Amino acid sequence: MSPAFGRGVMTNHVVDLKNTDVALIMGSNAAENHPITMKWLGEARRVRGAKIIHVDPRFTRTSAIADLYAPLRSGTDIAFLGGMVKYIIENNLYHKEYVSAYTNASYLIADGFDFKDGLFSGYDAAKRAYDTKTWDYQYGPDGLPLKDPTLSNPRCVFQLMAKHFSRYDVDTVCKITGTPKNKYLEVLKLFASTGAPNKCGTILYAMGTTQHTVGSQNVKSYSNVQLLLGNMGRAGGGINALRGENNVQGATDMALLFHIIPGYIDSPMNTGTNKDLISFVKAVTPGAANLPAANMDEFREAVTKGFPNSGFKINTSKWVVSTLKAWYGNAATKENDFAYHYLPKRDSKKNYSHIALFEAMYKKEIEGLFVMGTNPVVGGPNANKEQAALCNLKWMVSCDLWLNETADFWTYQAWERPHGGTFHMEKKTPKDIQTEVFFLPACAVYEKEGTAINTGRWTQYRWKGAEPVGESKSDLAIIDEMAKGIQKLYKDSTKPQDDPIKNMTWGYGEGHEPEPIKVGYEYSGYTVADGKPISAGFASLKDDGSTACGVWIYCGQMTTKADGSLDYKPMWRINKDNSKTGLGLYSKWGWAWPVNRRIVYNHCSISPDGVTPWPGDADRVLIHWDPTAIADPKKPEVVGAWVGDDVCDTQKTSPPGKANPFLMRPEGTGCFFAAKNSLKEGPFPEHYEPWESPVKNLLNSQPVNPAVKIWEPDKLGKVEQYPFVGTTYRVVEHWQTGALTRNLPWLAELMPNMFVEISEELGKLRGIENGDNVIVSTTRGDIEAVACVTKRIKPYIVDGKEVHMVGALWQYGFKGYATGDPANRLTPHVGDANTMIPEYKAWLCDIRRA
Amino acid sequence: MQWIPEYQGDVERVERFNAVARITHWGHTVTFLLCLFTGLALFLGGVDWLAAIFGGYRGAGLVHRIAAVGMTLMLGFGVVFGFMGVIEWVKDIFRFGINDIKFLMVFPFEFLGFKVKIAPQTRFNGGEKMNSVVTPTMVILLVLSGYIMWFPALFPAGLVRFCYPVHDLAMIFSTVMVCMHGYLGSFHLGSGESFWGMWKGTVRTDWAKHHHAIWYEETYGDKAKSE
Amino acid sequence: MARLMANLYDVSKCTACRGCLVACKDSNQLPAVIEPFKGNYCTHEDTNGNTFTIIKFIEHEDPVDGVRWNFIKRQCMHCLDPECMKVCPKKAYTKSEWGATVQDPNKCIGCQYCSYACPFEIPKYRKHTDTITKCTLCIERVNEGLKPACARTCVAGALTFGYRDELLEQAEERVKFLRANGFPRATIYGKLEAGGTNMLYVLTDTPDKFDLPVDPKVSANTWVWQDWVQPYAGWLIPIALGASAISFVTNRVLANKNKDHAEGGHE
Repeated sequence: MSPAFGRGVMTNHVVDLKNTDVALIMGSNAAENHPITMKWLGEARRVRGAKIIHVDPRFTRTSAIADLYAPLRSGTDIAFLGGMVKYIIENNLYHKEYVSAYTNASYLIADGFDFKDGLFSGYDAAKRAYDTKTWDYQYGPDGLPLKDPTLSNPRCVFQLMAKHFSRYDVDTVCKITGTPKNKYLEVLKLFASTGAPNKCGTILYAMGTTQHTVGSQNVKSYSNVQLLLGNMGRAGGGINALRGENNVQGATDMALLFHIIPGYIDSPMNTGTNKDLISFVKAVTPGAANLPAANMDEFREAVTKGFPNSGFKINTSKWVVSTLKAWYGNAATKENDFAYHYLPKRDSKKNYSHIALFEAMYKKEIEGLFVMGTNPVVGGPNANKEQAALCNLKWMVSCDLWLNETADFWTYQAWERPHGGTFHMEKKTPKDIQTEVFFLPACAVYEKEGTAINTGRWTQYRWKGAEPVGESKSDLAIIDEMAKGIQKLYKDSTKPQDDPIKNMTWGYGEGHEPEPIKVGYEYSGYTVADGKPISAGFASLKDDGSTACGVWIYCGQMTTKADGSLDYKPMWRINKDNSKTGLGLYSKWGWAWPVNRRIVYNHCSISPDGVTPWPGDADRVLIHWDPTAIADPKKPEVVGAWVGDDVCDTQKTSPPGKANPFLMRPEGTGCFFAAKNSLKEGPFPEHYEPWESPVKNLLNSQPVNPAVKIWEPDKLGKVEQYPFVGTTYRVVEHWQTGALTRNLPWLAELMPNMFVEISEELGKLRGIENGDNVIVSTTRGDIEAVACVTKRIKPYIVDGKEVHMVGALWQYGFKGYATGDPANRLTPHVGDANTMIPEYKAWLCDIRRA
Repeated sequence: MQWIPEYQGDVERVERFNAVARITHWGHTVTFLLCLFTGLALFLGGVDWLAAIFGGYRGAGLVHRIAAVGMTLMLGFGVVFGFMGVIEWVKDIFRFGINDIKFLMVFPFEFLGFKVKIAPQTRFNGGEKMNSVVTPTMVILLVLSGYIMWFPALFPAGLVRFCYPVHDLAMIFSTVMVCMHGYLGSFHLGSGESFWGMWKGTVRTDWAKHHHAIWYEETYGDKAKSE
Repeated sequence: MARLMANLYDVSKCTACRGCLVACKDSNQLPAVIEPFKGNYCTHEDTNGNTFTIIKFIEHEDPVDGVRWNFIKRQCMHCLDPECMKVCPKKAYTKSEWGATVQDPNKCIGCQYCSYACPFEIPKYRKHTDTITKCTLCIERVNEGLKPACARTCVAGALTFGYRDELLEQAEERVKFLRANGFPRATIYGKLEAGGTNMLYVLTDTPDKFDLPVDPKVSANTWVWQDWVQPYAGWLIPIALGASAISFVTNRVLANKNKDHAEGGHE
């Protein structure tokens, strides 16, 4: 979503679901995996008569309560949504004023940009990558993009988009997705109705959308639809990415991803453009690449003056320097580039994503591994290979509540495979495995304190409910002990390469347990001179070393009480909806990033003049322009500000017309066209079949997403041997790999065995009856499971051919009360071109009775 | 006050019931009564003292089941080891005829103590024939319904449900018969001698000639001797 | 009489997450009963001695509605006039003043009469305690002013606990809404069924589509047994005993009078 809007986050929040008119749940089984959404959607139904659409390859518990269910073949979301874009444009259902004012629909695209047979201009087939310089705007003499407000110029984004999706007619789309035509049209009609100015539609998506080789473009497709319908930045609208875990939002915010530093800034690489701090900030600040500034002072001047095509991210240098100050304290000074050289530089040619790590492990390139709260032997793609890869480690530290399958990957049990499977797996014994495995018991979430950030960006502090059992500790305590231990080992070193360890700040308390609030203090930001927390937010951060902030997007989370003690906003529990129209903002319950903004891009909740609501939608307005308001009492001469029940997501004192609704984008607008290298495979989404597909692409001749890295070309399953589409999913009863829930008797009672779901037609084809044991095979492994033969899955009619699906629960392993084979032994080592998220959701398999 | 007529060992006596018959009979008596009293603890309300004798309701339940198994074993024992006796018994029942009807018509008067003239009877008189049909039938119903209720999971729910009133009714009818049978076979003036027939196995010859004339003639009389 | 309270279960809101099942197990501290998966998400055929409530998953398909996946929560219906109470020989069942049918495990002797009398076949035998168990409508919680554990947990708002008359009104409204919005056969269950129950359902279709007994009645068997045999037929025994006692006396009196043979009045 970042290429479309500037931030890659759930734009609204869970309570806001009650404000919607139509909810499209696609690529998500929200009723099972995010049950609380059902509470608020229930409110929407009760109060507003909202409708719920569910589009999914399987008829799940979400489909059971949806008003409209439409099946779609796994991996064909772009076709489905592309057809929706065409439908919306052709039937004039888009929100015209919104599209003109708030998106880059009117921007003109460079002449060099082209598209043919599934490839955009600039493709290098050998590298499987694009040179994206043609994916750019036409610029005027002032350096700003040219526009056509009438949206009729054939080179404007709107017309190019219409042309691009003109091939996605209803019949072609239904041939690709296997959706019955009447159902498809019902979905289109219902969701497109939210293009009306007084209607808001929301999209809820999850792993079903992202875990594909085209995952990022799947999400981009939602962005296109929502921008056309004028649903972004509005209460009851938005794109609600339902994160897969309760604190994964927090994890990614704090850069538990290899390619970023906290706050989603690209991490430095070992290239010339990142050789020092000034080069680095120029590289990561949009629009700064060609600035003449030779040092930080000059850069600062340029930033203060402003330069085009940057947006709010023009302030990136302030966030980078503040992070460095937070991490290295007094060792980060103006003279030493604020210790920029302490930061490890990743190899620009290497990929450090999950798949890449395990491929490297398999090739014996990695010595040691920490697996904390993760269970790749069950949850990782191509689990057989990943399990084998672990054997090549010298040491492994596993940290979890129970001994999970990964911690015990070396035991006899771990190498059992189904009888009669076709995949040959070398059966290892503990004697064969040289890896030294350590296990650190972690305590459960209720046994520790700290914040968690939910899918709606709400940071909520959680207090401890019980003491940890036995020797288990919180992750914070474990990391604290490790960091202190490591620092102690290096404290007397004189080697310069050890300085980053010696000089890293580590001030979270000296007691037995680190204090979460001290961590919160560091990442919320403080002024270096007096240590006072910066409660105003990241706008107060500086790049001259006077401020420190571990995670700039969290800046403003900490404030002080009247007596000077720390007041941590995530601890706030004021259960009052501060929205005057009952929109459920609850701004004093916890703290949402950025700066407690509950709905991002909320300028769009009102018409471009900033004063008139969208017709018929007055009670969903979040902010408006008050020409008399004074934003900063210290600057009373600046009159006029955006005010309202939510924190405004635009320049506070810029009047309507100047205020950007999507200020994190250099364009300042929502983007249909993802310019330059925002997305690796193209500025517009295009349908590509999954890496393993039973059919040919009906829209172009590309076999797969052209920008995707193919790790194991020889493992490509052919439809002749593996005729059925396989997919993976969860059930509400189990949590992720089941390392927790399969050890809980009551949950094991609810879902005791591994099973796969197939249609009655496939059951008949293979002579499988409900309850029979079956073996499912791919080129990467076999699993044994119980077959659930159900009416809820029907074969897809894809271009006249019957295509069957096997749906596999992926949450089982050999430990605990409820055991079964991990379905991920079937999934491939191939992932999205941008995020590298594995394609868990669409692959080819075979199934037969065991 | 005469209770059971005294045993006259010095006069001539004839055998009425053999050892197998007597063991079976008294085995049934004991197990039946145990089942009855433990069962009544459930059937009647407010009889905690009755259950207490058996160690509470659980205890009563346990005793009931043990006695029931005992009764089933007794049945088996009687059929296996006294098979010919059972055949004779059944044959006699099938001889139900005009003499038995006459018996039944005068029985109520006789029961109360009035003088009546009774037609000659076979081994089992009219009333005993009736008892022989009703009581074993009821006992079989008790046993079958009892086991079905004991293991309800093995049977269709409808059948289990049906067994509750069946068990109750069979119990009521068999207990009514047992009350009569017990009284008539011991305390009732005239028929009380039959107690010794079942206890020691023999009855007075003159009593047999009087009460079961046809049986006596056929078994011990001139008719028999002449064969 | 106190105002009746009931649990209303709205099928149209239930997502079958089974949080209610786990909450019930937790609240009653029941052990897990792990049975193998045989092709239906619900691994239990029915409630059992250690599982007071289950959610059944029922698939239907027809040309008009397409595929429907019906979820239904099953547990004791807390009938207004419970059969279990009538047949229990130890009077172990009572009705709380607000409507819960509660069984006293100390009085229960495990005879299982109630299991077979219940038109919903709810009371279940628990082997290791040799007693019957079933949902208690969380009487201890409700008496403290709390909601039953299942209603408290339900995230989707499918379970509501409150006054029966109010809930019935809400249910009527809901059924009206459902009938106008794609569920023409939506209906309330429990208002009159089995004489009325304190567990009310809003169904999106006819009861048979949820494997509910369409017209749950007490079987003839039970009322013959309870209303006729139990109270009356038993008197035959004391009558027989009485007759024998009379016979004992009259025989001896008449024998004395007639100065007859000790063997009584016969020829």
